[in-house]
Amino acid sequence: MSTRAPQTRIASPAKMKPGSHEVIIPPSTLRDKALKPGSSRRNDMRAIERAEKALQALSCNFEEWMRDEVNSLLQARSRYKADPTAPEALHELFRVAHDMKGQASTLEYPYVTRVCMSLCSLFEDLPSKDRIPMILVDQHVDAINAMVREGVRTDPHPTAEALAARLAGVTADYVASEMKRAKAAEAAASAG
Amino acid sequence: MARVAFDELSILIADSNANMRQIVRATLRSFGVRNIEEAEDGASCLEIFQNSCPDVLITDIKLPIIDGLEVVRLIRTPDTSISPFIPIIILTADTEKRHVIAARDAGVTEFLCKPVSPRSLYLRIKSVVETPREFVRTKQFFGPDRRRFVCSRYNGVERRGTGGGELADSHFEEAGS
Repeated sequence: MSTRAPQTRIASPAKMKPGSHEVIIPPSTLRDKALKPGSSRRNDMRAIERAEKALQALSCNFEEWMRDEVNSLLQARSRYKADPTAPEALHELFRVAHDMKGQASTLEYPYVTRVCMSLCSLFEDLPSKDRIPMILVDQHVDAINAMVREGVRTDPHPTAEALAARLAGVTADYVASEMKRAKAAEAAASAG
Repeated sequence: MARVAFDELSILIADSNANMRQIVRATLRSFGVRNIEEAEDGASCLEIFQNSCPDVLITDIKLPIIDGLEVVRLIRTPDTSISPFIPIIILTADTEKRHVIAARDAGVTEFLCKPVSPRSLYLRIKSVVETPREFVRTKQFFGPDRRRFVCSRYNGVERRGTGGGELADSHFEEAGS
């Protein structure tokens, strides 16, 4: 059970003078609670080994989990394609891609993580969400689908490497050109 | 000699993905942690935090409803938070520099990249228990000291305003005193 920290009242930052600072030593509640006498090194090694075994045991689920994630991604892409102007469809597609980015490497699909990174960049880094090119979204989603379907799980895989790198390069170039375009439009608007 | 008793810890995991929460939970259980709670979005993370007051929070940057870094900022608001000093470990695939800086400036304690290895997670949790970081308070920031080390080669001005900074544990007042 958690031990509730003693109630402390800390002066409001709003009352501080601009430019001033204070260094505060936090209460040692957690240290007092969880630091015990005994040898650390052997405990540490055993705990880490147990955790690695536990992950190994879970890994039999990884393929199924990834297939489920890909299905979610395909459904989200369909909804987005049906109405690219609907904010919730865009948000859902981004959410699924972002989740997949986070877990794919853990589930032993490192190339899927890389493709998700450049897909998420399309959603996050473009100045205008109206200018997301559907063809590039399709290429990313189709690449992820293929990688999971073909079971591309390990490094190195030359085809997956080339595909992930190409998608990242094309996306980065597109984002850079859009940012330049947006800056030029902004400059023209303020000059005019 | 001392060891961290993981079975004494209560940990809150916040991640929108159920599979990731299961993986982190299995890892923490293997470390010996018995009291583990989960939140799938920022709103439930804050609710659990307020009700249970966990010892450590492990959270992703992006959460639905209330964003992960907003959760961190709210927890680090000393006027209203039940435990503003709680160690907060970010566990995320958003590893670009801007995300690291944003997390640091929101007041996180440690930053871990996915995929996380059991070893990295274990050592981070151990670190936040064994060597809690000093906190810094300014008008705009309350959180762990963002300076991780003192650079002996720096000969410029102290950029923290009034100089060396005094240890201010006198600012704590126990309730009822």
